[in-house]
Amino acid sequence: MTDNTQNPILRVKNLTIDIPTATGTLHAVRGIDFDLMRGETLCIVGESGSGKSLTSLALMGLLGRAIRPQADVMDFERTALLEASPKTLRSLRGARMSMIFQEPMTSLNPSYTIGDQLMEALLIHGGTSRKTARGRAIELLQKVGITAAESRLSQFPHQLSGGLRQRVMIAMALMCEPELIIADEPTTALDVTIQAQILRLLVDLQAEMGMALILITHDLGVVARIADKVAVMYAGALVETGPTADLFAAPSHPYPRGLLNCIPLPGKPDRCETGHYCGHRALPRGGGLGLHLPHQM
Amino acid sequence: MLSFILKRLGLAFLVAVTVSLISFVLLYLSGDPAIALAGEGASSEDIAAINVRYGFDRPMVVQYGAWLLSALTGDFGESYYFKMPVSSLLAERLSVTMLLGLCGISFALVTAVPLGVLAAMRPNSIIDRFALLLSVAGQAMPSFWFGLILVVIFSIKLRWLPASGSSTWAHFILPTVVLGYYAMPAIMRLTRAGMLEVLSSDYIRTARAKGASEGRVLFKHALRNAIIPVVSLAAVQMGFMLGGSIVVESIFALHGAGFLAYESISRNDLPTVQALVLIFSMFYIIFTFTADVLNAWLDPRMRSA
Repeated sequence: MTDNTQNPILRVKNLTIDIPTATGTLHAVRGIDFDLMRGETLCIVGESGSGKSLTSLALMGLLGRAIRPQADVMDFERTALLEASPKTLRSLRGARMSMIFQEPMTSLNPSYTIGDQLMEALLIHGGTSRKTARGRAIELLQKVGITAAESRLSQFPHQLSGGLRQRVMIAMALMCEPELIIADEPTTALDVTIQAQILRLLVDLQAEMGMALILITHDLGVVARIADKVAVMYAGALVETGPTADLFAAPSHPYPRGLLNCIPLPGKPDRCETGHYCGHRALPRGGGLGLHLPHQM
Repeated sequence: MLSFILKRLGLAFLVAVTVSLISFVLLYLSGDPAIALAGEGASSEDIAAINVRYGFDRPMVVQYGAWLLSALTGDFGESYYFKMPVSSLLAERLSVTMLLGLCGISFALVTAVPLGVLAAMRPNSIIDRFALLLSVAGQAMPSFWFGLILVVIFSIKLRWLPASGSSTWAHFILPTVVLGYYAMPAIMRLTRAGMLEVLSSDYIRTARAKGASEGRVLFKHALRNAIIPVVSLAAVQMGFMLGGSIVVESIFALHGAGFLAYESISRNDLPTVQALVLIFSMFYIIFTFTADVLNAWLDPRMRSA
């Protein structure tokens, strides 16, 4: 396969996720588009419930049986993710695209050692020996800044702090040197000091390994520092997408404008007004957003 | 892990000593054994003679010490009714009961765990409904009735299996089904509930994100965590099957320990009852100890407890 750097590694056109519920269909994600090049960082921002996590789970094919995403295009390299067989998807997951989750405390299996869980992806995909996998696990634990890496392999998740567990999760996602990493708010559950460390680590590793990164976050400061592109989601739709500098300089949509105003600045009055969100169900499908934003009124 | 096992062993030993003391004292509280032995109209000389012969005149502590010491060497005295050593009586009866108990719990586990896993994989599906129906029926049907129905169908109508006795393996099939079916619903529902909870947990999503196959997710990642409460339950049910299979043993005329316990209680056969109570509680202690060790092996967080 020729790696054409002009071709995006990930192409998404009109991704829609409908969730059937007892009271009607919930249009959780409503026709979003974006492209991601190799080595690029895309930050998806938006408030809770805006569909960020669902989008990332849809990319990984982890939405489960009840929820069927639809899209005109959802390609990872040349693989159409929505048409691919479960087997093809399994061969991609963990090997060429991997994910770091929001909850380090519960995302590791309590019954297996850190070493077992680290080596698992490599043993599933790589066809390598346990010894090689072990070496790789130690190497990556060191890379994510865990001291005494070798002795950590025989420890269990409950013996590690939240920050350490998230580092283990990152190491785990990197085991097979994936081309795409999706990190869903990887630092929300951690202390502020640890948050900065973990993010820096992630960005450094991304640059070192040349991976594409989708980072889902609330933190606009992080976005300004690391993102090449930003996608702002609101109520399941992409309200703004573009290069980071443009967004911060001149947001065209009222919602990101409101969002930027939410960054507290010393000496400035609090102008945090992002509007009242009236619930997904009340919104018309696709098309115009029924937002009640202060800027429009 | 080793220190955990040693700690549990020590605890099990203390429980065993306490249980033996309680069972010894309780049986003496149920009435004067000499009067029970001699019968209602016995003279005081007869009672005194019995007291001396069986050692009832000694202080309670001495009697307990002597009983425990000989019990440790396998000597439980002589049965008042059968006029033979309790130990040989037990050896004969316990083998039947233990075989039945083992078959029963195995049957229950082999049917209930896969059914629970299947039901949890597809909640509210036809399989789930079927499993629910089966477990409700199992809980609702008294085992004596279910046993008799099986005898009517398989022994009398179809003539496939013997109705009573314990001489061949075929004799154990119907009792196993009856005994196992009684324990199955609880195990099935606990497996289902545990699997449902574990399958929606974050680490299962992590396993899937690694590209693990569905079988690997189910059996390596989910079942190991979901089965932990089932292990404890199965241990208790196994103990219950040994001591409480009187009904099943009576229906199928299996002369096991449960039936012996029933007989001995009604005959005031003190040494036999004492030995049975002791043995049954020792089994309980062994099963819970095994379950604890098994659970600690399954879940490393329990090892520090």
